[in-house]
Amino acid sequence: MSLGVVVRGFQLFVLAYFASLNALYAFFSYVGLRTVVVYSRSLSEVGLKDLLEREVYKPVSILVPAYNEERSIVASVRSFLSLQFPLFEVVVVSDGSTDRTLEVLVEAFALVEDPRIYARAIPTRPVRRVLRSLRHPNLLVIDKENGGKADALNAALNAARYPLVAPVDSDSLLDPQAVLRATRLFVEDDRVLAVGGTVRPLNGAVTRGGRVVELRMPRRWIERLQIVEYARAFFLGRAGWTRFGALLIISGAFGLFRRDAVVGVGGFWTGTVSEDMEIVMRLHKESRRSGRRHVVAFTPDPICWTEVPSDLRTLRRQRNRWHRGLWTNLWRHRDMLLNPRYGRLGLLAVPYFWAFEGLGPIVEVAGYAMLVASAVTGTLNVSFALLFLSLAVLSGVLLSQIGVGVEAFLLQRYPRPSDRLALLAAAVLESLGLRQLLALERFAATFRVGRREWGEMRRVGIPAEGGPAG
Amino acid sequence: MWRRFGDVAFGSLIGVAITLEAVPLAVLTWRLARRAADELAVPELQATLVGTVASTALGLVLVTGYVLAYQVVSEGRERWLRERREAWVARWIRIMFRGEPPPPGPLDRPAAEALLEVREVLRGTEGEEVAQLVRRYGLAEALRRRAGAGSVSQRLEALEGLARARLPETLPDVVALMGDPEPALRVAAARTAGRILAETPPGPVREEGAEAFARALQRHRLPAGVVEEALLLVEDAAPSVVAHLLHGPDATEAGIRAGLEAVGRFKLLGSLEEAASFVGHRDPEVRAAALRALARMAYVPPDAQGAVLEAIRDPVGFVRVNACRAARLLRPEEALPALWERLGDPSWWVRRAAAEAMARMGEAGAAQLRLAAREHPDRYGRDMAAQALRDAGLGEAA
Repeated sequence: MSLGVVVRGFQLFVLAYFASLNALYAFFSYVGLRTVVVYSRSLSEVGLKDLLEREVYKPVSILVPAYNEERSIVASVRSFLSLQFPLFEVVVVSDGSTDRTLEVLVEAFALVEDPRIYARAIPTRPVRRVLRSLRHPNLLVIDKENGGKADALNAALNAARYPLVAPVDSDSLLDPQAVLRATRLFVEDDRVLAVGGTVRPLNGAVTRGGRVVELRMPRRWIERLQIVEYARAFFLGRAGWTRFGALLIISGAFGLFRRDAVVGVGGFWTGTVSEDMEIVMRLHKESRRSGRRHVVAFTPDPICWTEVPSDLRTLRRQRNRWHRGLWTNLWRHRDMLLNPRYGRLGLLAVPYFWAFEGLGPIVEVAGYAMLVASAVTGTLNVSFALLFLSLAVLSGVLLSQIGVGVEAFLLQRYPRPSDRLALLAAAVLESLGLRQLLALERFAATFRVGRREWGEMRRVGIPAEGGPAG
Repeated sequence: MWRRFGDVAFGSLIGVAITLEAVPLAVLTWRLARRAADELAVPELQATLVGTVASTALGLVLVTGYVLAYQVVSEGRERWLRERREAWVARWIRIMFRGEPPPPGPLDRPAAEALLEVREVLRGTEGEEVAQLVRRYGLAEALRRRAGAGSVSQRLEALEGLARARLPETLPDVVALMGDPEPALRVAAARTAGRILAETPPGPVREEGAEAFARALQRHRLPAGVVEEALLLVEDAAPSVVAHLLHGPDATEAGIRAGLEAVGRFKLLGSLEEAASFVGHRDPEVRAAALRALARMAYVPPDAQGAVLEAIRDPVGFVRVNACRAARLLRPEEALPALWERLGDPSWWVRRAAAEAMARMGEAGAAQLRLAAREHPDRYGRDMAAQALRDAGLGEAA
């Protein structure tokens, strides 16, 4: 077989891959958008008022794993405690922190030791002590030996009292109304095991009393690019997968789960750095195996605000970790791949994640390498390559613009028309720069799947009252 | 949380933009395959690629243009609508309370929304006067029509309007929508029907409405949570609906559960005996709901006391939990031995419920709990008793 045939075959493969991926993206964009439109009208202000007045809601335990968060933990916990939700508790777990995380919590919230007995349904690393607050009866702090995020979540899960649990990142803010809207999905459908919500970047936002009161475009472009990414991923991708009952990811920044369901499948798995995806896959799998009808739902309402990396190094570490986590989870649940027993999950969602999310960076990097090789050997059709690149960029930008367009329908949106132009520019930059850079990072991560390190995440922290984040 | 205009048009535009991208892309892929088989010349392929790029770019321009225009227009439009609505609310209030003459119809959107807002707030005689205005301008008829046909989002909006208007004559149409194939509409219709029924005055119309509503809740297999929520909205009409749910010919387990929840929440004393009769039901969820209703009403009828004691040993954990909670209402000499036994239950939740029930049974319960903290044969039972004593502020075991 000549080199020319191989090259031509590869080109055809890349184009077919590109066309399939874009066709899927386009399809899910349309379906996702329809889901958002219907959802946005399905619970009116009147309905929300009725829910509150008739006390038709399920109480929530907010689970906050923390490791060496002495700088931000007090502000985070304050923001969770100020959540205007009728009945909730906050369970913070200091996962063997080696800094002053526990001390600052004790000082800020007047914590005292609590000889509480609770069901340790899931084994965890030893719990040293449990503390409760003299000021906030709904705050519980667990001090335990280091075991990683999943282990900390399991410890919090054991201590949680309420039927719904919400694992959150300690650098996130929650929207009170959105939490109420998300919890209603459990009331409306007995089959719902978990609900994911839209996460939006907090960077640049002005906060007051633990709430986002004004959105401002962040200064750094790397933060703006992530606004585009998040809008596309949540408003289109996840909303689209939900429509098909095949949502595989609920963001670790915020998710709502039925406590008994998570305990029933053995809690969060400590063998992955992406426990948020793994628990959803396991919930699907175990429910299917036991023949129980179940739903993993998604609400397009922006429930959670999270600080996104503001420098390239941290962003690359984060994406490296996400990709390693993705592969670990796909491999652990490889029996779901193309397995009709798992319905749309096995025949559509899991193959998509293998082919386009897992192997995507390899195909992409191989494509760039082929491009370079063709240029070096003088076999490159420059005009064709440039046109193809333009098509790839335009398709990416179109998709991003649809996602960003959905954001414009939110009451709390980036307010100025110039913000829209900035996001358009960010969409172009994201398709022509960041995407390639992150493809390389994810490519590298593919060969480091076994590594369990989290990597240092540099954070600016939740802003002081009235100040913009980031 | 969401702006409710322009999104349907945006959806259609996205359909166009995606078609502009996807169709040429499919043609391009096909032509590249032909090129690979040497059936197509390079210039032809390149022309297809140029067309695909141009077509995708056109889609992008359309979407970007719409988003930019929406950003600019929506700000101004919302401000205008808000101001007009506020002005109309003030005017409706003047019409209601200061005798200002009502405007001639038809009403524009801000005027109609403002009238429905006023209707939402006012109750009693004044509320009925606003209802007359709603009828006079034909708003109910328009909303009824829109709720029956059109896009899902428009129908949902119309149902919201009907929920605000709460006009009894719209109930049959709304109840019919509880069987719509679209789940979001079914849920919205159930909520709206509950609100309308609450506003329907006592009499044959309400009785008929309650029966139809109960039948729809059962027949259309609405989720248990929605049935419960809709029932809590019916307020004074609850006894009629509950009676149909508990004993109607189409009684379902979800309906019975919801009915029992309503008995407890609304404290429907007239349905207490009926609720108690479900403590021995075959479905564990129903048994638990009946026990919960009794615990909420803080009374166990004498005929049901034996069944409650029996339920303390139910094979299903969450039934035992609810039975423990109801058992605190029984005579201490009957309840305490059973609760003592449950302190050694394998389930943490049952042990907890038993200990809490004992803590709420006055001095006899507290004494028994102190004894359990010291001498219960089960270690976990002793620990739970000690914790319940601490939590209830009843001191330590010793």
